[in-house]
Amino acid sequence: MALIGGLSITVVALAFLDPAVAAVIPALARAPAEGGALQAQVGVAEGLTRGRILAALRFTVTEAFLSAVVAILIGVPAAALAARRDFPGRRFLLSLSGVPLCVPPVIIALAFVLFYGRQGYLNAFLMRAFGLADPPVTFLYSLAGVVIAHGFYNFPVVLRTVTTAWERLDGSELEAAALLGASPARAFRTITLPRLWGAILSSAALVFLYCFFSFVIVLLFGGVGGTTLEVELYRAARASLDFRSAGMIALVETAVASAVVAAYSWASRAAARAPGGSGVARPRNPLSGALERSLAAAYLAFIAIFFLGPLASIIVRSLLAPVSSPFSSALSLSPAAWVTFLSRRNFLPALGNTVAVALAASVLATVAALFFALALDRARGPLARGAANAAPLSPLVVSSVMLAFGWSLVMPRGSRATLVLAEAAIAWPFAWTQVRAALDRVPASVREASALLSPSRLDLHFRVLVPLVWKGILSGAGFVFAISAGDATLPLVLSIRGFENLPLLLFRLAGSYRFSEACACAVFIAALTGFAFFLQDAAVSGERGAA
Amino acid sequence: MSAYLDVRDLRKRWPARSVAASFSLEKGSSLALLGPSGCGKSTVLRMIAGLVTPDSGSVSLDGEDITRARAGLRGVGMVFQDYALFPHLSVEDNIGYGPVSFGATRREGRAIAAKWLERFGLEGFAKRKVDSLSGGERQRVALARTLAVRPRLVLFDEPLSALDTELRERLRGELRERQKSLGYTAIYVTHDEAEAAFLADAVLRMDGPVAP
Repeated sequence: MALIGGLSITVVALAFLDPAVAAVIPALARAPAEGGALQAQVGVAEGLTRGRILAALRFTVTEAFLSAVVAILIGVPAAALAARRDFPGRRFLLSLSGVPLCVPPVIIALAFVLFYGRQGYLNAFLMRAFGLADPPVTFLYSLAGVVIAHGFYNFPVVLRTVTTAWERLDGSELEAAALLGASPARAFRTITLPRLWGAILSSAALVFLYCFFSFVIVLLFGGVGGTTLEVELYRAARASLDFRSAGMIALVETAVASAVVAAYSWASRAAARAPGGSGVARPRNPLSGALERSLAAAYLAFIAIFFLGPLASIIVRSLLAPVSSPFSSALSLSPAAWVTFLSRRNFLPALGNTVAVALAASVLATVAALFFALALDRARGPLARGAANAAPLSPLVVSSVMLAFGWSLVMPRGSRATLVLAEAAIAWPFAWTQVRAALDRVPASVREASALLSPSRLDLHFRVLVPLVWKGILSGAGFVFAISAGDATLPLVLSIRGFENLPLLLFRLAGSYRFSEACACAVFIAALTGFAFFLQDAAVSGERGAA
Repeated sequence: MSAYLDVRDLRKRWPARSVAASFSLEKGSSLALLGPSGCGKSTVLRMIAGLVTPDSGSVSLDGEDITRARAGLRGVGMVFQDYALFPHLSVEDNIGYGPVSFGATRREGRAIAAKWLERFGLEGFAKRKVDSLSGGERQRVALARTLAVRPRLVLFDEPLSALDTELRERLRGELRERQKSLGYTAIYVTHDEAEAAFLADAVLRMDGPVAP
């Protein structure tokens, strides 16, 4: 057992550390320096490189910052609504927090093209409604497009974190403020807001990091307005084979991300430390008054149209096919896209690859996470605590593109095994978080009873703890499966010869403007990852209910 | 002439139960609402404070009908069961919170707080965070915060229930003494018969909730 445990942890740790280090080594290597002319050339090239990297850094920080602001602007009012009021659709609104985790970015990109694109549903509607000749909504392929896609995609992260913090706020403190003459605005400013800052800042930092490392969405929309470090890294590593620049970009983005991760840990610790008061939560009231009702209705309609609209348009589009007349661009209801997609020669191999890689990554990551959690279960020293706290942050510091670039340096000929290792290395902290949370809920007395009844630590681990936390383990596995099955980034950057999975297929179908088929593929992937996510969510709620 | 506080047939109904109360109180005196938990005594207190809207009945204070007035604007203060101190603010900012709400500057609020801290024997506590206070100190800060806006009526919701026996006996003496020396009108809610008799001039017994 110890062997399996040690081996799985070592494999995953190496699968992460080895390529992460490999990716930055080219940046530290000396530039070739023989011959004056060549040296001058290298100097010019380096100057260009530095300028480009700086421009990409500026663009990346700007888009990530603005995306976090958009996510806050949409997420905080939603949190106010969900935390303080009862209304039909409240649970559904909160369940949207699954979207950033279980709907892969490649699907979001497609959804935004279909909905906000020049020929998208929004423009079609506006042009018909107002008799316009040109599409009025044209922001998609610009900084604004990237920011809006990111902001919308990630607002549920803010929504979930801030709602939880808001619900923990003590009801009697606000009543005390009211009795002391504070107006609702003053009570919000002086009592509520100071207690929410930690949650707002930590969720904003998380959104910033997600957007900072966002790849597929920027690859598709970024072109005109600018490009991010991730896309530059991809181009340098894959197109121009400029490994030195790629290494420098990897170094820069990891440095920036590390600083933000430090801010994130600080803010989330502050949020957790925020005094909880007596824990007397206020009951949620139904919406009252015409103004409140209409504001809430307008807000929910806004979310339904601009957030769910793009996602729904994927399903709609997958059920539409071009009318057979060569003189018409009209679409009609038809299963043709599904039939074509499901009967593609490469559909079954792609499905097989997706499931096989996701399953293997999920098993490897979960086994490693479980053993790591068990190894740290009794350890309460500062080193163990540090390891436990730092582990889930690792994929926030090293991006998928950087990891894949590192892998391509370690093993220039990528294979399915490389992909499995890379997926496990990126996604294992999600398994770790679930397993660890489940272990933390096991009462100390259970451990003590086990210690008194058996001298073997293995008995504690495998006859007591593992059976107690199996739902957490399953949940972790589901998480990793969902993330891996929807990931287009690692397969795209690793570019394994002859390999195709569903997200890659979707990327190519969308790239060749076969939107109906791409949508069928997207719905298929969403069903697969959504199902895995649903299973893990059910497992984890069962676990909490039982605790 | 009507009483200083007149609570007349104040009633709140829920589908399965309802709470009703009628009583009056003279200025400067004190009353204890005594009853088992769940009998609705806290609800009565909250209706008087304006935190719960009654379905029927009226409350008048010093001749003024305050039944529909906003909480905070009716001159009614309350010391909560858990004190509800603002944990992110210092002791002086907790006490100064009310005066600032009513238009004082922060500096004036702190000056008012300093006066109350002195009166309550809490000199040197101004900059402390409320998390670092003992149970007894918290209660004094909560009372000082309530009195700092000079309410016409002070409500106490189970003021001693969060404390251990020894402290409870000491503080109930302190509460009684302060009410006499500062002369505020007070209503205490408690489930403890001895406490009710000790704290208040009069005791109103409330039984279980009545059917709606």
